[in-house]
Amino acid sequence: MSEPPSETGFDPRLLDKFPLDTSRPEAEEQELKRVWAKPIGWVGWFQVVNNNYIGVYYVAASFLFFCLAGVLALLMRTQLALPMQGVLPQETYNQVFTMHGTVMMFLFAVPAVEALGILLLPQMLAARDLPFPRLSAYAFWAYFVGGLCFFASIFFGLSPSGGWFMYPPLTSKTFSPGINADFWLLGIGFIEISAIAGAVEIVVGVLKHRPPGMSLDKMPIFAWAMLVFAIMIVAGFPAIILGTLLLELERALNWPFFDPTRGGDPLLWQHLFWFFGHPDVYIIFLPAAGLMSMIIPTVAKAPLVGHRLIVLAIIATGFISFGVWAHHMFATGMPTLSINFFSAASMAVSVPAGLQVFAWIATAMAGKYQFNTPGLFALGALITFTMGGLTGVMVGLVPFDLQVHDTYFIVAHLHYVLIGGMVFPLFAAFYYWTPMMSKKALSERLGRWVFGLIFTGTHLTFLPMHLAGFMGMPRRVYTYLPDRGWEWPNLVSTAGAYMVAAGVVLLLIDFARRFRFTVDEDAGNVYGAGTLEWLPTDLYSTRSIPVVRSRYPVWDAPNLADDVQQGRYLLPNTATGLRETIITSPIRAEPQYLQIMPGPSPWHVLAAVFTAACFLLLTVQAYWPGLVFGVIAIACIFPWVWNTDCRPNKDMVDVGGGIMLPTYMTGPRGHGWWAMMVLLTVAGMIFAMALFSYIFLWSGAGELWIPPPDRTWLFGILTAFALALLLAVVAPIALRRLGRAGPALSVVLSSGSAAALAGALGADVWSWLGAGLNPEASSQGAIVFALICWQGVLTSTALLMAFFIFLRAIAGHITARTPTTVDLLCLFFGYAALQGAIAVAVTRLFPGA
Amino acid sequence: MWNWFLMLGGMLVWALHFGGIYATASMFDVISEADAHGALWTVAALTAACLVANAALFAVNLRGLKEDAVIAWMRSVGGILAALSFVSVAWQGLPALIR
Repeated sequence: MSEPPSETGFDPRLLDKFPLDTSRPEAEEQELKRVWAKPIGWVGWFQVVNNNYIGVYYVAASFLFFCLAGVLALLMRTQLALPMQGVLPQETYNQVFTMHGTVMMFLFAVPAVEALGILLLPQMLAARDLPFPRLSAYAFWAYFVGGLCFFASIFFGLSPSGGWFMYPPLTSKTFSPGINADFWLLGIGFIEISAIAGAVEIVVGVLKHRPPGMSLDKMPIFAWAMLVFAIMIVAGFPAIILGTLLLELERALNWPFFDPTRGGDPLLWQHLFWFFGHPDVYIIFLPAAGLMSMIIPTVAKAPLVGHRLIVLAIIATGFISFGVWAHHMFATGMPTLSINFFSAASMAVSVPAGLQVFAWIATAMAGKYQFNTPGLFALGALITFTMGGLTGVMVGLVPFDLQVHDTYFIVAHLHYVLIGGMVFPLFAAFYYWTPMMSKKALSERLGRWVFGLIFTGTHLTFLPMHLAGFMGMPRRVYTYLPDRGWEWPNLVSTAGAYMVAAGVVLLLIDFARRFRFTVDEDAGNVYGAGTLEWLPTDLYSTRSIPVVRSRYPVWDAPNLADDVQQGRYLLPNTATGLRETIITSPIRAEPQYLQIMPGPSPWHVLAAVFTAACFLLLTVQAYWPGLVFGVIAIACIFPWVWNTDCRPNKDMVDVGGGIMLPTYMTGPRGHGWWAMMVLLTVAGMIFAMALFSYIFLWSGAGELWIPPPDRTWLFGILTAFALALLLAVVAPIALRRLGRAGPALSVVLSSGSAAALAGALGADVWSWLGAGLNPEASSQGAIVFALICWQGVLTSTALLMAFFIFLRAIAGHITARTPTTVDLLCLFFGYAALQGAIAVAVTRLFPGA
Repeated sequence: MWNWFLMLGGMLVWALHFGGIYATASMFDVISEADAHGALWTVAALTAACLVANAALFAVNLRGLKEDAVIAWMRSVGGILAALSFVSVAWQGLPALIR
């Protein structure tokens, strides 16, 4: 008999024996409850890290921001209901529409889908939690505290007013002299950090935390969607991180990235913004489409038609959406050929979206579709998103786009896409998954009213906007003259907006009446779904981790819930007495090792609060207090991660059925290695965007650029970077091979690596200053010093990391048996050295002397 | 990595092609003009190379359909993505090639 295929050497036949027919001691479950318990008292509500709590906090906070931004929308609609209204003065109106767009996109849409990932994925994958629970909690608290402070700026007239895309020169210091624009630029900073923290969590979680047997072909569509979503954040958000950094540097330090009089170019901002901005639409849409692909089969009582094609569509959308950024720039005078490329890509991206729509329709037709509230919202999403998608194809045509550019037609189109593609699926998800975390399901009777009001209101609001746009009404105007034919479409739109608001108020009433949070007495699988999140759970997720043999295990194995609850699958206890979960391989989900997970802590909460405070203080130009708070935030990270690299007292444990797994892992199999690789990808993307900016600025005003410093400097700096790389490679080897001297030597080598990075950076700055490069004088100075700043961020981080290794070595935590800290941090040092070498070579050799 | 590469290869080729043609048009816009003869020939050559790469990926994925269920599933997704990428690359190259 031939060996079954394996990814890791694990024998998959070992899983055939599950469910076991032995009974487990009752005390095991009590022990699980104890280990995974929320800390008691009011402090526990802050320190808790379990995804059941953080997920609900996160969803609730994002919905709060949806409501707040919705109130701003009502203010705008009231102002525009009739011509020449005086409800909002012009400047306030500008702030209101800017905050509406910003809050909806940055504080509601992206966090809401990320929140659903954190809430649903562990249960859907039958994992105890996602791999870095404190990171999820940090992401939430930074977002919530910072988001509330950012929103509060509107009460003081300090909100930005340049539109949610903040185009310079309107947002430059000359035309936006106050601190309003800084609120946007720095306020978005902590949201970016929060989004990337969540993305790291989701990538590693989906690839490494699946239950045994859940190979890629059996993975729920929502998990696929969240995986692609997180990778898109990693690829797309760096562009906006760099963009906001450059614009803030221009505003604060007068470095002319976007000022054409000194070789800058405002179009650079548009490229950077839309390289993030357009994929962001799909970053929002894909998880929502994943929700639809989970809800529709349950509502239709039929497996999803075209599962494979939907996975394909999700992947294709993830790629192609990065080729459409410049379709927002058709009117900027780009070369016709380039415009045509982007137009072609804009048409192409509608194909995978259309695939998903047809698969949902086919699933609904294949089964018996039930028109309950999730079913109604899913249907509403289908109709509304399709309408928005069709107008999207229209504006992908360059001649049409030039006619409707900056008119209300675009406002209608984007709201159809975003409401149909994200808000309706989210509301369907509220009704569908509430029974998973509440003692009672939401009311079906009230739910139909909520749907009726929101669906009708949405179309009443936005359908007339197409006509207003065709009649020439421009976007972002705070009022308009009578007798242009714009009165009735605007009046109808305003009535529709209030109808939507009534629907949302009704939903809030329903939540207040019916939602009672619980982790162990939930209403259960009221809609009869077939996926793992509907197994009985507690704070530790499922009692035992099932072996998955189909895409709808709850439908296909009628005894699954009972077997899981009785502990007949893997890890029915706490094998080490600590929080733990099973790590599996990325393709076939074969068990690899037991991950020890961190528990509640105050440190990540404090780090989040001080991170948000640091950014907000920088906004109000309190630089020194901001710096102090930043240092405190970093100091909080040390105790947060201090115990995350320790070996439990058992090296191997039995996770059930005689399957023995190690309790410690480093290198490419370890979850920490994957997280570091994702983080380095983010850093690499920021760097790639900075190099793009460098070439873009040179192509516009290369005649203003000065020759680089003498070549001997280049040789010296590259030697220092090579030394940093070499030491980073040698340090982990020394730790493992040199016995008792290994820890001390690894500290010396890693510190040497960080010091070499610092030396190279210092020489780089010194030589450019010596060559007469001034960051305020030209775009070359600005972008070269921006690259140096980015290298400085990495170098400072490397120095802090070297200090962390030193502290851990003193405490005796750096040993050959626990090398993960040194392994991962040396990966970072090595990356920093490579990036520095490339930056130095490019800035000195291109365009050269 | 090989399994992941074969599954995502079609889309990687598409991304490479898109980046390449955008860079070509932008570079020629700086040197002379975006739709100079050199640019059009470069786009044509890149398009042809990417079409060949997609065809090769499609063929390799097709052969993998005989493997076990998990790998066959990945190969089938990879094969369809390569086919989709073939059409997309041809479509994407057309603006430069239809003059």
